[in-house]
Amino acid sequence: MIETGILRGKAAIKLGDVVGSDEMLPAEYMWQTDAKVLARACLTNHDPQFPQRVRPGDFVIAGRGFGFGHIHMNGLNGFMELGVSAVIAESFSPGWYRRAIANGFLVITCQDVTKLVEQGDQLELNLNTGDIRNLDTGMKISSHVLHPLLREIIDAGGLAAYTRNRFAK
Amino acid sequence: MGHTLAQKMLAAKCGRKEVQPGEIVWAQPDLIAQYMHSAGIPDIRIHPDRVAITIDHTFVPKGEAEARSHANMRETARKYKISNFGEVGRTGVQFQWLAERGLVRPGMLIVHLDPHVSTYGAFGTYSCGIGSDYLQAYQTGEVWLRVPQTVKIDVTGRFADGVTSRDLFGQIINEMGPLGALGQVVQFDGPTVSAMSIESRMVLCNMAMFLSAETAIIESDRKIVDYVKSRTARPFEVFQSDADADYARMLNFDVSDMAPQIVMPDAVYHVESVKAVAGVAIDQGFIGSCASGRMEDLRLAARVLKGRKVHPNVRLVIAPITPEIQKEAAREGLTEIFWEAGALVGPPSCGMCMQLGYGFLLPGETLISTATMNVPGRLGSPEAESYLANPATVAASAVAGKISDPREFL
Repeated sequence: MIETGILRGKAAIKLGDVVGSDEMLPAEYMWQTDAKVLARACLTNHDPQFPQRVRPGDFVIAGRGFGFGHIHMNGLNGFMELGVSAVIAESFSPGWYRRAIANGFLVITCQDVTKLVEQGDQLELNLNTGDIRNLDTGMKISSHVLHPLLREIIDAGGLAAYTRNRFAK
Repeated sequence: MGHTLAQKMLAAKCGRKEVQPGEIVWAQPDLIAQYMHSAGIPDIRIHPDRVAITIDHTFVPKGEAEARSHANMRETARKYKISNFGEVGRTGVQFQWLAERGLVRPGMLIVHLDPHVSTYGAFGTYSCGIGSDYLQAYQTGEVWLRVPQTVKIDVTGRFADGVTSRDLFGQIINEMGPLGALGQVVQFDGPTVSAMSIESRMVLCNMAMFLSAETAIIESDRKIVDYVKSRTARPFEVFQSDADADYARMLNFDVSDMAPQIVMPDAVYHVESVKAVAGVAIDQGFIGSCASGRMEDLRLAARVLKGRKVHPNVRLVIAPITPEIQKEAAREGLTEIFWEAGALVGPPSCGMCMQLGYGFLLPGETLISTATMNVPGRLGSPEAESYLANPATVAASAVAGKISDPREFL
């Protein structure tokens, strides 16, 4: 689906500002490394039902400064295991953003996303134009088009695969 | 418009005449450092002098997984003939050790697994955290970086006794908020920064990530140049910002009336004055981490602890940041003062800054420390409380058994 640049999914949860990298799971999972366990606990400190409700392809919506603080990976690993297709946030902490890209996980910056999207809304994200259509309200929202290099890294499946491809050429 | 220090350095590192904020460039780091490689032996194709690996988070392995991680780092150093390898007992915390070895020189681009590498911005380097991207940088010698805008913070005034650059950073975070420099570089300047020791500047730069900044940076002066020259004969280039450089924002702070600050347990960006929470009972104190444990931190703690005893209800652990600092502290008689006070002097390491070190907290226990962060669960039970403060405040609180303003003890 990422080849066409069109992604459809539900806004599975809407989070506020400054969700830290260590605040994407309950604190007792801070040292956990098993992706399956992380998936089961993912965002349950914000909404206990999230892991049951979320479907592969869904989006996580967040406010400003998503991934604040240390660039710990537990939340990201949980999202990937659950099949979340992207975090769409008003802004990202630079370190967390980089780690998402490195893992081939889509991160979309969209200024007003928390004002224009409610939990449960069906969204269509066009990576080529940056347009996000809220299929429930009909509203069109503009997001930042991903930088071509970062898009290439994500399309390759992450920085390790991108680097392998570069060497192969 | 002229160019900022960050712009000029990144231009040099990608072989361009100039770069503009917002651009993404492939830059060539001078040093790629990490301390925690655990999965096998990485593929390194660049010159081994561009690599630094140390063992600091777990100064001795507590179990098989940690022992294997150490063995991997050791084997990696051997295989690729990496001379910048820090072995157990000879390293301490990497965010001090590399500077002591002359591996941190003005003008360098240093990348690291951990964003606390911003500490080295104090040496006029561009130092930023890149997470696991170091594994690919090992292969290609390159890393992608977004050229950031710069927020310039001018600092004036003289610190009162018992108030440190850590308290200044607390005030800055209070004023700017956790997203105050999102994706930007924080550049510290002004007479107070010039007057600061290198150690104080390192502490000031250490926590740039809690402003959501890419990193922090201070233009190199005589003090830095002299220090680096005393550590290495290798050449370096001092970069300077243009007088008409374009800053995203300019802020002023005056430290003259500043009081000791304390980071509250609920968020690393919730800062109050120590006075506001004075009297809260504590169980444990810790002086150390990459944000402390240097000579002036230890001297300040020793001034508080000299001739006093740690409160019977409190355990106090003090970890000098490196073996070099540990030896100097012993020569100055500081270690003796800590022992007499009833503190445990821990080995140079990250120590009680995280659970991987030591010092598990039980539910309901309270810690006051000079660690870098306090997110619940980082140091034991999520129901424990962790305050962060300067070393004088930690020492004073350990003596009193409750959070205390250090100025009454100096």
